[in-house]
Amino acid sequence: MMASHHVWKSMFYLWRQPYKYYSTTKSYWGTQTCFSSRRQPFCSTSPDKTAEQNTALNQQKNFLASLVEMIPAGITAAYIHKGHDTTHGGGEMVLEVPHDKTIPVLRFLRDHSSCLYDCFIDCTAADFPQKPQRFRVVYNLLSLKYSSRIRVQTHVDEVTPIESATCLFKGANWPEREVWDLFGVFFYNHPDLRRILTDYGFEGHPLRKDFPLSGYVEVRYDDTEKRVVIEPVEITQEYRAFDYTSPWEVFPEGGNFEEAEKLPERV
Amino acid sequence: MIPYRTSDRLWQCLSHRKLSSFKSLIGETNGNRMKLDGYSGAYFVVNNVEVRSSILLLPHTGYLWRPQTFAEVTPNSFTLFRLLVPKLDILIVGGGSVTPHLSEENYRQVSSVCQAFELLKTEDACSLFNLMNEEGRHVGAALIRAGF
Repeated sequence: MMASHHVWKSMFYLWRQPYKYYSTTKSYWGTQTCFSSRRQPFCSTSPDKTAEQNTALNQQKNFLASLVEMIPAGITAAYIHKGHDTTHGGGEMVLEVPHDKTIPVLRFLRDHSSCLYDCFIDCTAADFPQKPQRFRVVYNLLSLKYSSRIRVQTHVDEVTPIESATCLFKGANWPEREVWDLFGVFFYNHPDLRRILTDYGFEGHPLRKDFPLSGYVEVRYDDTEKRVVIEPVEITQEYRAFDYTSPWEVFPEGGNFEEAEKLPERV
Repeated sequence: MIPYRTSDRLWQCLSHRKLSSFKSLIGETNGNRMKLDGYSGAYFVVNNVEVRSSILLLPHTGYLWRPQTFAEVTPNSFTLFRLLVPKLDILIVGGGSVTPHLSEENYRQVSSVCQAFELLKTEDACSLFNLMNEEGRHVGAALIRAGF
């Protein structure tokens, strides 16, 4: 019953569409262009192209230029970062995106037939405290179809939320929780935005540059109370008296020079 | 390891008593500790007792809590935890269906009555309270039902 309902629905939808939409299964007859079973990589070389067109770097440049042309509102800058591995002649493609346009851009990159970046690799962030928009949130994507990688970057400050990418990539769930936990970048429309790495009740975001290296609290097992105790951190140090009036190094303590000048016994 | 037979579990689920009076809940059954056996949006099952109210939980006791929605929570709602010596290690605040946001004065009050606090949805808060209470940590919970 449900199936027939679906058929009627699709027939209503296709009514008075151009005839090519009437066949429900897409026919590939006469449209095959590539006879090898291997998929075409993004930076393929072919004898039809000139030597300059064949370099991966130029292909990446052309690709980024076409992207900027297609989504001008979503991309503020596009450049090719010279990565550590440039043996193939290309670099790492980077897109700078305004913080409210990440999801449209990611959707475009995932769905458009010339991109197909459908493999979500990672989402991380970096902290630049001197900038007004201090967090750089980075999405790394991989296109298995064209064997190409791209990085999508946005810049946000502490209070600006950005939309979660979990509506596009289910794998973005935990990386975004990690970014929330360690940097404090808030993702809205996230299904389960909880802490993931830090302890329960932990305060602060430890990968921020202004987070102290020693942390705020320390946890130890108290043998007398037979339980784990959480206390504010306390860095103990031996008492040292610095004598700033003397120009000489006052060592060893107590002026016991004869003891100190003895050479240690050689074994 | 499965702790009980399925039929036992089913019987336990169906047979919890209902809390009939405003008495405090005491953990009698499992090692004198509180345990949240169940939670729907409408009620908690605390040590096999059904409680249709917001609750405050301590390692060994539990109390009914007056605010029924998170908007009714004031700094005075947390005064119970101020009486505890030593302070709670962790206070788990379950804010119903959403992760709660504490206002300025609530934040100050909560951070003064415990060493650390954790704001969660109630469903996550229940499991976290059970986990940490089984570990024997000095933990408290203030839980609000999601919808009723």
